[in-house]
Amino acid sequence: MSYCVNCGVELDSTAKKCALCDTPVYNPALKSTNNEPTPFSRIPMIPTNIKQKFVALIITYILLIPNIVCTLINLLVNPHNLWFVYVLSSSFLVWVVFIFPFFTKKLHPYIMWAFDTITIALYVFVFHAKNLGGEKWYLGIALPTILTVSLCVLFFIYWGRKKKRHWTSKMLLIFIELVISLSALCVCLYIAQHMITFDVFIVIDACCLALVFFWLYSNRSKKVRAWLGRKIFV
Amino acid sequence: MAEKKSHSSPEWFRLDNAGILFPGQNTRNWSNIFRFSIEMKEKIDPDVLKQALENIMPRFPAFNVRLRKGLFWYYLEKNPVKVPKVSPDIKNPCYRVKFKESDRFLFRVYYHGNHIAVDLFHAVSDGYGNSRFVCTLAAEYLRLKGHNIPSGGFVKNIREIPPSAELADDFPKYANSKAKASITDKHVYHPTGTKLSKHMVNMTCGIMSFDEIHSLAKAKGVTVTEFFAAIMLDIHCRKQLQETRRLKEVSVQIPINLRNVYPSETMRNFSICLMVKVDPNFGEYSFDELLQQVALQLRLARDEKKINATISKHVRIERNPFLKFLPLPVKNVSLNVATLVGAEQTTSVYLSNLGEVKLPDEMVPFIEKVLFVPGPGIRTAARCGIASFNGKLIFTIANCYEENDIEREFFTTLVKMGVHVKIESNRE
Repeated sequence: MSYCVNCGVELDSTAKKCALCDTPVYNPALKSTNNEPTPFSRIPMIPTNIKQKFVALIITYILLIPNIVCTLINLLVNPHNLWFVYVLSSSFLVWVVFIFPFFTKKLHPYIMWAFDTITIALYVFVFHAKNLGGEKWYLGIALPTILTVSLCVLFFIYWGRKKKRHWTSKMLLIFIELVISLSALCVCLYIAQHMITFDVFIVIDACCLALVFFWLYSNRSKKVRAWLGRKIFV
Repeated sequence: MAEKKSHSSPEWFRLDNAGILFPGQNTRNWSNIFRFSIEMKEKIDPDVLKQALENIMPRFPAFNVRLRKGLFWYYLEKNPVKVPKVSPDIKNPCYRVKFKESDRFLFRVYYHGNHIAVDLFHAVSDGYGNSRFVCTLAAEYLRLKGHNIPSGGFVKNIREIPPSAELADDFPKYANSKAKASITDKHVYHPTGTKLSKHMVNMTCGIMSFDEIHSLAKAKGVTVTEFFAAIMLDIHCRKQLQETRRLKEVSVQIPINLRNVYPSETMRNFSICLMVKVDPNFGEYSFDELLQQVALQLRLARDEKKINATISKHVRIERNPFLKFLPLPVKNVSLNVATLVGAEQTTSVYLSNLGEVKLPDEMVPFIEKVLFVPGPGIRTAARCGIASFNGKLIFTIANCYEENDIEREFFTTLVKMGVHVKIESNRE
């Protein structure tokens, strides 16, 4: 029988260390206890979730049906106006963003986000290619904004993966990135001389900036952080 | 005989007044589930255990059920599958219940080395029911091993037809108070720490002499439950002082068996939780003052009239026509929200004392000890179960955090008081 020199409690004969203080057990008088059963099993049971790949495959097939139907109807009934590209591109976007991750569980988040960015850029390009809203808006406004937002998200992933962050810090970064993205959009709109929408985005940007200061304050003040933690506990 | 038994139990029945809460609170990460385990002096043979389980199942119609969804309520239905599987034990007992798993049974039977353990979903029964089930299972196991074990104490007679009173929901039967009981509580202190990964729990058992603890408690003029509750309050009050400046109340939730208050034979839930709390804002409490607080509060709360008012309130909520006709999915969402907002937020420590497990004299030489483990909490670091058998008291702490300072503080406090404590744990 072994006792913990730290806690003074008797330990189980199979224990390698004290369960209360992690002090290793060293008892030369004790024979090897490899064959003796431990008081509790050592094999954990991690419950399995639903087979995600299978569900993703089913959703993919379901998503294919309206796409095939729309394509056939469009090509057979009205081949001059190719509206089915909207349905196809929208479905493809949904599939890449929401369903594709379930097929590739081990894909690196940066690569996954790169896929998403390319798909979103292509999706918007479809509208540009169909000549909606003028000619310059894609290269002048849409693409730079998409790239800025994408870089912000990429930085957020990198920053979040580096170490565990408090949720108020996360909120602060989200709003900083929102300000950066909106500012980028404002600059693009200004260059492209879209003055009406430009004003609206300036107001939203200013509101976000105010929220950045709020989160900056709450992130620094322990008291406010604790109060927020109590009020918005999930 | 078996024919008669199967006819006597109903095809379906409603969940009892306490049980209606648990399916709604159930998520894929957490379930209200607890374990009762019995350790024998010889290694368990799984085939014999399976046979023993098959033999006792007709005696426990309350356990031979599966959970089904109605339009407004969950209900329990007789399970067409005879017995659940008997599996090797796992490191993380009381992991979440999924109603469609294990042939839809709401309990799981495990064996490991010398012990048999049953993890039971609280919607089916409470500690009273589970302990009777496991003791009867162990007795039948020993009978199949060739020993002559009679029924008595916690061991039910498996040859008798289960009385209908065992399937009754006794809450409405005794709820007759017109007094308005308050069931709201303040949010209390919870220790902070690093959460274990999903479905994991750290279980630490302290095995000690019942007489040593009893004499310590008696010397202070309190019961064993009150004595342990005071130690836990003391630990949490001191821990809170180290952690934060803004002090909150510290509370201990203690379930009591209502069968000791009202004449009841039910094998389903029939217990109620009492709350003991101290507010450290009034100043620092010494251990003796805490003992006094716990003893006084608990004895006041044990008043039959107050208990009746509380159960009457719960029954009135269940019978409320508006709530009654609320569709089940809406009820589930509301219960989930209520669990997040209330539930464990009002409890710092959970302490359930099953008391002395009484077994027939012929069975005692084959049993080493019994173990009662409440399932892990969502925020509570100390969910404690106490059971004693043959002069041994086993205090188990189920902790959902990696840190084990509460366990250490608790057991070393006992060692300092001169109690011999042996520790067993699932930590590696």
